[in-house]
Amino acid sequence: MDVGGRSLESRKMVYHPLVTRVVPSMIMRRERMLPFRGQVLVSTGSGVEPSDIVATSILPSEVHLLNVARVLGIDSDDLTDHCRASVGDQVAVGDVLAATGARSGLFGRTYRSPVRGIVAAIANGRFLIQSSGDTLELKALYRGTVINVMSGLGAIIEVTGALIQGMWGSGKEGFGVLKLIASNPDDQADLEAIDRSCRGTVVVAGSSIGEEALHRAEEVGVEGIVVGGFETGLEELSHSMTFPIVVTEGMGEFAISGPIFDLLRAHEGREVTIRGTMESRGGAVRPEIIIYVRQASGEPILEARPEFVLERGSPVRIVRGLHQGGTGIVARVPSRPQKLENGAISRGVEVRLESGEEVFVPQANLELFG
Amino acid sequence: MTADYVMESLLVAECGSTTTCVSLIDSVGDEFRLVATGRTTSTVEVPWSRILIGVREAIRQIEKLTGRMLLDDEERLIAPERDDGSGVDGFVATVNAAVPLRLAVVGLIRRLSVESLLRATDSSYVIVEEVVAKDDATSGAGRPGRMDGLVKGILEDQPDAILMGGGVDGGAVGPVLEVAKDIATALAAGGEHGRVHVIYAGNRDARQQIAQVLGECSSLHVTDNVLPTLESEDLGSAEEEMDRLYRESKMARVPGFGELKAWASAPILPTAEGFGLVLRYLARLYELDLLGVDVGSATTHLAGVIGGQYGSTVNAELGIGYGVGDVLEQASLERIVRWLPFEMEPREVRHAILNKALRPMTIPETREELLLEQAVAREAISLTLERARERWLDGGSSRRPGRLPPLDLIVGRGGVLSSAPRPAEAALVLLDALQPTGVCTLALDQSSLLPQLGALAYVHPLAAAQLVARDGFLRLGTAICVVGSAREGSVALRIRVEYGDGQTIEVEVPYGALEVIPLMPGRQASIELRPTSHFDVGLGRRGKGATTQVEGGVVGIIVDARGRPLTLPAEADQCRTKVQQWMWEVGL
Repeated sequence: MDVGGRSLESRKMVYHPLVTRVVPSMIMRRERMLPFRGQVLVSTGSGVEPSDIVATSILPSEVHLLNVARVLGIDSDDLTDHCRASVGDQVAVGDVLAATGARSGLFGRTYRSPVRGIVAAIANGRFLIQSSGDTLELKALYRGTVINVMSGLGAIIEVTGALIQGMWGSGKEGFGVLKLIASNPDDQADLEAIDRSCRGTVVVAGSSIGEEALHRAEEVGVEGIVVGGFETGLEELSHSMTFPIVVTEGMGEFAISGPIFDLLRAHEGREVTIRGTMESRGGAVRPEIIIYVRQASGEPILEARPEFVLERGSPVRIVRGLHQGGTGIVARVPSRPQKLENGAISRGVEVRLESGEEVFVPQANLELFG
Repeated sequence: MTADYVMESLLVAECGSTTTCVSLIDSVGDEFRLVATGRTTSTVEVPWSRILIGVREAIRQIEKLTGRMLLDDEERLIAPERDDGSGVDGFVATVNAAVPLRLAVVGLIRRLSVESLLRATDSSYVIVEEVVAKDDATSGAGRPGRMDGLVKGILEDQPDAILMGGGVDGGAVGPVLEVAKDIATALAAGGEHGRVHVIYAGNRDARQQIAQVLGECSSLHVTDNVLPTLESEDLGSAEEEMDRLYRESKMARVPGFGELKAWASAPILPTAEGFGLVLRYLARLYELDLLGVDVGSATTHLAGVIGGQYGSTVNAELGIGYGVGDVLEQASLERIVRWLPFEMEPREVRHAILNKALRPMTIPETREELLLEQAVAREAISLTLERARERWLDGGSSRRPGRLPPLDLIVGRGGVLSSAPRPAEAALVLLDALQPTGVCTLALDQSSLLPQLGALAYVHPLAAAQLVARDGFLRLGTAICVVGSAREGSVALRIRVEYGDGQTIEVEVPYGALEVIPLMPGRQASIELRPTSHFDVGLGRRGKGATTQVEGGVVGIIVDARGRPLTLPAEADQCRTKVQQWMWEVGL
C-alpha cells in the first residue's frame, strides 16, 4: 500500500521510552515559585547567584476564623463600618478588631483579638487572622539569568550547565561543590570519608548510604548527597535531614550508572545545584543535579522534548527485571514480541551490556540516556 | 471530526496513565469485529508530554499487523476510509491519564450531609483531601476548630474544588450559609478570586444567598441537594457536576488532549464512564447482576449493576503503577505478602513496590515480580470493594455479612488482569479479591476494548453492541463458590457435570480447596450441585442442591470451596504453602 508516495514497508516502528536526561551541556529554565503570594525581588534580565533571595512571603502558621459580626450582633454586611483593623495589619492579643458604638468604646460592644497575627481577610462578617509565621526567603538556587517575573508569585531563571536527572529525591534543595567520596560507582558510602572536608559540598556517595553516614553528613554540614540506591527504611529519616538526597537509580542498593558517574567524576570540584523535590504525575518533576560547567564540550542544547527514540545504538539503562541496573547499547530491535521468563509476551530490544553480554529486555523496562 | 458518511471502520483508543491501547474495528461480513490491537507506553508525562505520540505508535503497530495504512506522511489520521482500503471512518477514545480532582468536602452533619456528599464523590476521579463537618467543631464530637483547619487547608493546599452541602430542602438556611461565609473568607484571604471551584449541593432554598456569598470569590456551581429530605438521597446532579469539572479542568488539560479531540468522532469519555456505560448496557440487555473491576496504574475502579441499580467507585489513589505506594500504605505489607507462595524479605518487597511507583510503566519479567503485582492488585481491589460496600454495594447487610450479593458476571480489566500470562492467574486474583458466592461467570476485557465501546455507542450503537457480544470478553469460565465452613478436607460439594456429548464426570471438592473441571470456551454443560450440610452454593440455604447450565471458558469450571470469607493461615509458612496449593489446584 502506498500513501503520499511512501509505502507502509518503509515506515519505521518507533518507541518513545522512559528517558533520563544525562546531558553535558544544556540550557534549562527553572521556575522559582512562592508557595503563597508575596513579593518578588528580582527583575527580568538580572543575573542571580544561587544564594540570592528572589522573593519573600509570610508563611502562615495557624489561621483563626473569627465570626466578629455574630459576636457584635451586627449584620455581616455591616462589619466594615465597625472595623478598627484592616487587611494586612499586625494585631496583638487584646487589640480591638471591631466595635459598635462610639470610638471611645462607650455604649457599644467591642471585639478584641484573641490571637496575635496578621489580618488576612475581612469578609462576610469574619476576620481571618494568620498567626505571624516566619518570613520565607526564596533563594534563586540556580546561577543564571531571570527571564520572566510573575508578579507576587516568582520568577523563571535560565541556567546553563550539565544536567543529571535522578529517580527519587528526599525533598529540599541545596548548592555546593561537587565531591566524590566513592572511587567506583558501586562503592558503599564510607563513613570515615564523610568528614569536615565535606562541609558545604554535594557528596557523591556511591551505591548506598547508611543511617550512621546520614547523621554524620548532617553533623558536618553537607549541602546534598547523590547516591545510586536508597533504603526505603531510611525514607522517613531522609525527610528530616537538612539537606537533599538524590537517588540516581532506585530504591535498594544500586551502583550509580556509568554515564552518570562519569559525568559527576569529570566535574568534581565544580559548583552544583541539587534539587530533591519530585512530582510523579501531571507534569512530572524529577529530582536533579545541575553542574555549572565552565567550558562545555560543545554548544549547549536547549532543554526540550527529545528528538530521539529507542533504536539500534541507543544508550540505555535497564530499570527492572533480571538485569536491573545494567547499562549498555541497543544491539538489535527484533520485529516480533518475545516470551519473558514469567510467560508474558512483550516487545523489546536486545541490549549489549557493558560486560559484552547480550540480553533481551522488554521495551517498558528500558530507559534512554541522553 | 464530523462524520457525514456511514462509518464502516473505526479506531478506538484507550489512553491510560501508563498504557495506550488502540484497536482497529471493521465490518467483516455483516457485522463489526475487532481486527487488530496495538499497545504501547503512554506519552503523557515529560519528556514527551503529548498524548498523541503514544496513540500514533500504537496505530503504527496496527499498520504493521494488518498492512493497512492509517496515518499519512504527516502522521495525520487518514479519514474517511479510502477506496484503496487505507484509513478509517472514525476515531473514538477514552482517557484515564489525567490527574484526579483534589477535593475538600464540607457539610453540616457528618452522618447526614457529609456522608451523602462523600457518596457523591465515589463515581468520579477525585481524591478527597479534607472532610469537614460543622458539627465536628460545634458538638465536641470531633476535633474542635475543624473549620479553621479547612480554612488553613484551602490556603495552603489549594484544592481544585470544594464540595459543599448541608440542610434539607425547605430547612433552615442559616447554618449552611455560615459555612459558605467561612469558605468565602478563606478564599478572599488566599487571593484566589474565582480559581477554586465550589460545588454547592445543599439546601436549595439557600441557593440565592450562597450565590451572593460565594459567587464572586469562587467559581460556583450549583447542583441539586444531595440530601433533599432526611429520607431520600439524590446524588446524580452533584456527580454530574464533578464529572464535568474533572473533564474540563483535568482531562482537557492532559498534554495534547486538543489534538486527540480533533481526531475524535464522538465525545472523549473518562475511561471509568465508558466502562460503566458498557456494564449498564450488558446488565439491561441480558438482565444480569454484574460487577466490573478495572485495576489501572493510578486508579482502581469497581462498578456494577445489582438489582437494576448502578453503582460505581473510582478509587483514584490505588493502582498497580502510580498508585502502588498507596496500596502498600493502606493495605500494609503483611496483607500484600500473604498472597505470595514464596518468602520475600519485607525490605525487598518495599523496594520492589516503591521502584514500581517510581517507574510505573515497567512490567514484571520474573515470576516473583509478576506474583507480587498480582498480590498488590488483590489488595487494591479489596480496598476498593470495601469502600464500595460502604457506599453502594449491598454486601454489608446482616443477611450476608462481608459477602458480595449473588452475581451473574464478573468482568476484570486493566493490565495486571488482562495481560496476565495465564488466564487462571487473573481468575484467581478475581476470586481472592472479590470472593463472590454462588455461580457466576468470570470474564476479562482482554483486548482493552470495553470502555471505548461505551464511547463508541454514542456514534455507532450497532457496532458497539456487536463488538460487546463478539469481541468484548475473554470468557475465563464459570466459578462455583460455596459459603460455609467445616473441617479442612471434609467434602464441601459434590458436583456432576454432563457435557453436551453425554459424557459425565463426578467430582467431590473438599472444604479449603479449589478445583478446575475442564469445559472449553463455547461449550455448555449441565451441572448438578450437591453441597453437604454445612455449605451453601448461593441458594441461601445450606445443603440445598441445584442443577444448572454453565458455559465454559479458557480456564473451565472453577469450584471454589474455600468458604467465605476466605481466611488465610495466620502463620507465614502455612500461608505460603496454602497459596501455592491453590495455585497448583487451578493449574498454575
